[in-house]
Amino acid sequence: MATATAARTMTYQQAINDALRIAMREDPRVVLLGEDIAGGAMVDHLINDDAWGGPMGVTKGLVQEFGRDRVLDTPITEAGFIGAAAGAAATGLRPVAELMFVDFFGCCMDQIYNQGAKFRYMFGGKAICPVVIRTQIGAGVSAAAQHSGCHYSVFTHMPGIKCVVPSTPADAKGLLLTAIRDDDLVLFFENKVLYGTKGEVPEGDEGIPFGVADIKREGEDVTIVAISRMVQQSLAAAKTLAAEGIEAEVVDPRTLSPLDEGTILESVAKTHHLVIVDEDNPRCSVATDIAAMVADKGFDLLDAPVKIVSAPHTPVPFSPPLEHAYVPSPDRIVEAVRSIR
Amino acid sequence: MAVEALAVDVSPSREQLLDMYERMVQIRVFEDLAGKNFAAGLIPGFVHLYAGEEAVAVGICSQLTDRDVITSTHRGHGHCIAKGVDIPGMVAELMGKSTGVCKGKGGSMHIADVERGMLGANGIVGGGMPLACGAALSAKTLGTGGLAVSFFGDGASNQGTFHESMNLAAIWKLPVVFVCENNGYAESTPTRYHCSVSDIANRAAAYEIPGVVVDGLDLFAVYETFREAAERARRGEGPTLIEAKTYRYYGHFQGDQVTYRTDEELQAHKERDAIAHVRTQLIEQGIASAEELDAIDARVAKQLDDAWEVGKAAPFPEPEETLTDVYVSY
Amino acid sequence: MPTIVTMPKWGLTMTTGTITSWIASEGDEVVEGAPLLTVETEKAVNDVEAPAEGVLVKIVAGTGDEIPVMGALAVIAAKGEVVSDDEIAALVGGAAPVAAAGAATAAAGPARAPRAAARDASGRVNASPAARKRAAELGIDLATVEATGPGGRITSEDIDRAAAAARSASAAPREDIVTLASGRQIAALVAGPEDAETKLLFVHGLTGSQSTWGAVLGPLVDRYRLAAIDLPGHGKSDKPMPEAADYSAAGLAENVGEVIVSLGLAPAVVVGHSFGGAVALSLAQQRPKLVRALVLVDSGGLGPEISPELISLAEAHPSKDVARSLLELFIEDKRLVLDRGVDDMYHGISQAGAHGAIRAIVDDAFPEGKQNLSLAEKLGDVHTPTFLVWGELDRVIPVSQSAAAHDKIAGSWLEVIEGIGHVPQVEAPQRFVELLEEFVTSLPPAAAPEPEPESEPEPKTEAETATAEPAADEVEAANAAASSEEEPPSPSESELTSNQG
Repeated sequence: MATATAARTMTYQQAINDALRIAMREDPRVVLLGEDIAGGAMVDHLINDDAWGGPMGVTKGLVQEFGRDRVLDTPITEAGFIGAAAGAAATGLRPVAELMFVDFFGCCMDQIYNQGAKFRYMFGGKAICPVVIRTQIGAGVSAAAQHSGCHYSVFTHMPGIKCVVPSTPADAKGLLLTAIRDDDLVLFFENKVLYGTKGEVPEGDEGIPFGVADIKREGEDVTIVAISRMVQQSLAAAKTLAAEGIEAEVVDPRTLSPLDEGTILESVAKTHHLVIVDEDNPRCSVATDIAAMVADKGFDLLDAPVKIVSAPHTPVPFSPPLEHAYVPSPDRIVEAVRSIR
Repeated sequence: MAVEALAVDVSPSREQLLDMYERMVQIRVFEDLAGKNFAAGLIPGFVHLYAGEEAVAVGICSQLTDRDVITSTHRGHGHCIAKGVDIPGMVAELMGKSTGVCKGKGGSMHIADVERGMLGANGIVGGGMPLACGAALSAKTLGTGGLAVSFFGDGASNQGTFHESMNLAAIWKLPVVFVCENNGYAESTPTRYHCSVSDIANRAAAYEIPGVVVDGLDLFAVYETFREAAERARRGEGPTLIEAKTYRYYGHFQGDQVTYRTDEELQAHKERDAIAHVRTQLIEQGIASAEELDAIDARVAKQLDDAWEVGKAAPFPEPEETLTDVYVSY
Repeated sequence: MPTIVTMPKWGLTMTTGTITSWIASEGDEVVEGAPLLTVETEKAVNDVEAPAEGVLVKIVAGTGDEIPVMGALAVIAAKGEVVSDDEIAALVGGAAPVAAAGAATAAAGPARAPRAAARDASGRVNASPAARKRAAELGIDLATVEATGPGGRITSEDIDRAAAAARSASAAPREDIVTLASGRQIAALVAGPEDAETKLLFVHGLTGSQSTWGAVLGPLVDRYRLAAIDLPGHGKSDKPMPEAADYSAAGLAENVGEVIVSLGLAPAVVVGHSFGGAVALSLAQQRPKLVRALVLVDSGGLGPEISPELISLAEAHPSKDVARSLLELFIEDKRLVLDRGVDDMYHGISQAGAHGAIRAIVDDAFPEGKQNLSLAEKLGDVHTPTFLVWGELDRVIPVSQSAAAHDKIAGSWLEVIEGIGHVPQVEAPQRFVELLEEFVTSLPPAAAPEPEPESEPEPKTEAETATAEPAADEVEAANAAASSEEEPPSPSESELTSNQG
């Protein structure tokens, strides 16, 4: 992490807002597109104000500073505006598009993976597509089956897409700045359950490089690779485990593509035990990918099978007790660690 | 071109009219209680309320039977009640209880009852229209005589699925009616911003199918407009696009501060309240007395109070239920 | 802050001590070093001294009690300090006996008792990938390893524990018998990690035995592979008739060389005391490849003078009085001459064959009351790093010989310990250990052991060693210079000497 000259406490969503503001100030080519990211378009009393600033208020206040020409409300037309963002990115703008919930990728996937993500390759390296698609992931608020998925595994699978999964306010800011300055298509996954979490966030405009994992907690006995909100769940589990004499090392990859394999392998070389905690569905997932990578490159490091704690192979249920059972809990993480220690 | 439907054509029977009135009141009370109980923390997740738009759902669904299929939206409670979905089952579903019509797995946004021909509320804007084409294809292919109706909002008319479905239904002459409930706002965005046309019904012209604008606050106008569209569809002449101009009393979702519209605008619409209009018409035309309608109101109030009491007492599903219902067999 | 008095660890094999008597009583004022109580072990009776000045406020172990090493004996408070019973209890409770050698490294996490590793139907041992790799690296047979992993799986920790156990098993002190080519047997106490880089061989002097090193082996055993032998005619080794054996220093050195090879100690740092020093010197000349360095402690073989009293006591008929006189001659501080020590000495010199052997050595080494060996000059030929340690008040071999030898042996270290006599390892064991370690850690890395050392050094190998290691280079240069010139080059010597700080 960058050495911070100064830091202040802010929420995850404020940190994202901060990064967007910094990026828009430093580069006039950065524009925001999305459904109701300002809200109230063409409403007389909201010409220079927003009605929502996004459904969760993440982009609130940006329209006041940058105007509606750079904070563009779109119709509910994901294929249209996500595709437009990709097209604009290939032709001079640096758009940040908001796909309100990642579950809506079904409405616009062609524009993402068949168009934007493949431009550079198909065109023989002669195009760039510097677009960031910000999108909400995560269960935990009973948003039900079509507004609660993670699905970053789908995007990580696809060449040409970079996948970013910040777990803290500081990571959210630094990684978003890097994402916007990056010349490739970036999916930036914001966990809606984390929006209100607070943390120290460095002032200034320093980005956090992609492909550099962060060790959120050091430990000798087991490596827990955790993604997005699962970092917080794993840190809670680590506390319980510490009371039992098991010191867990919590590794946060921060970006899934590119993936910092070295840090994961180094940690496993130390602990010889690996648990991967992933809120996404388990088949063909980032978790299975990391497990396979370690089985391949770190086979001789392992003292126990790699354990995956993930959501089940089901859609996200609505009812709170079912959703609670769906999301990997600190208890399940503790159990998984105990099963191999 | 859009055609203004006649304001009043009381072709339904007295019994049907009283039933329609009762359904509208059920929807209104259901939504008011849902709003109240959401605020009280009894409903998890997102809730989008239909109050104000009752005439559209009831005017249309009162002409449908269980063999007919509707697709709905995130604002789907009204369509459910109009289509005959069990109200206590709906209440329990909103609360995430095991006795809910979807066993607590779907919630408000995915409430459904396939047996009643209710193919689900929908969390995806524009998600229902292709499904309605499919339901119509089934009806046509299987010769059930059934009809499909797709409810969607003004916002959804900008999705590709709207245009693709319109074209598909037209070329295959599917027995489907597309009902756009234009309440003036896609979330917080006014229709005049997000939509290129003054009347969404105008878009029917692109597919050479009828496009009709109707006053969505007038039950009788909706009823008559849909009757014609349904007959045309059942005759095998293909789809119709109905645009019902309507209004929602609540915000996009519960919690929306609704800063994008004025109190004056809301009050102006409440003065043309759809239920009050029906009540006035029924009394003025001597179809029902005020006392009879009051009795219906009271009965509905009790029905909904009871449904909530039952819902509150119902159990949550067991955590193991998380893993069931993904596949028929696996 | 009160000070806790604990059971000391005197010998390598000492695990407990029995209190024979308390010299001090509760309430006594004591000065540091004052004897508090007497403790008996299998090998000796000794006083336990006060570790600090103050008042003996509490005695927690009584006469007759057998207390483990490091177990609590008493509490000393500073003068005027008030110590409550609770504090005493806490202090005493905190004094934990040392863990048994080879105790398993505590594994983190839920304790799962080691058990036989699971096997599948084909008999394949259930071991993790990391465990298999580690076992291969360490040469551990999986079939011998107990498992703590879930389902009876051997983990890498299990391998490490097994390896540690194997190491400590071989490191545990054991009484060994080395059978020489002649068929005679040499007794040796062998201990310490087998894979330690530095190997130490201890050779006692006339009338002594391996037990002379008892107080210094304990502090060294964790870090060094070591062996203390009984010379022929001494201790538990065979005591052949003089007519049938060569009791000259050179002859005994041959035996010692065989022991070094047999015990796998080559090249060893050979620590020789008194006449054992003369044997060590002789060995360094005979088979230099076996000797990595010499530590000569109040050593013979360096000058003519030798105590006439030693000669007459050695020739006298063995008795307890003779034994006591020998010890009193050797040791300056008479308090250290314990009855038990006298008994040991008497037992040593009165065994069958011992007296004859001792006389044969005296006849060969000290004809006409003088040492007939002076080996220091010849050391230059073999370039062996040498450390001279002497007791200032030695009445057997005068300390003046040490300075003379230091001058003759290029690059040698010299340390004279003040206030003690002929036996530093008994009279100043802690200082002795410190000096020994300082010297040993300054040595260039040990060369790989030669398969069968030849008497002729191979210059090529020496040169390679010198090139590979700067420290070796300096020693080489100093020694090489010394062999061709009268005086060693002063810079190298002063640098090495200054290492003593």
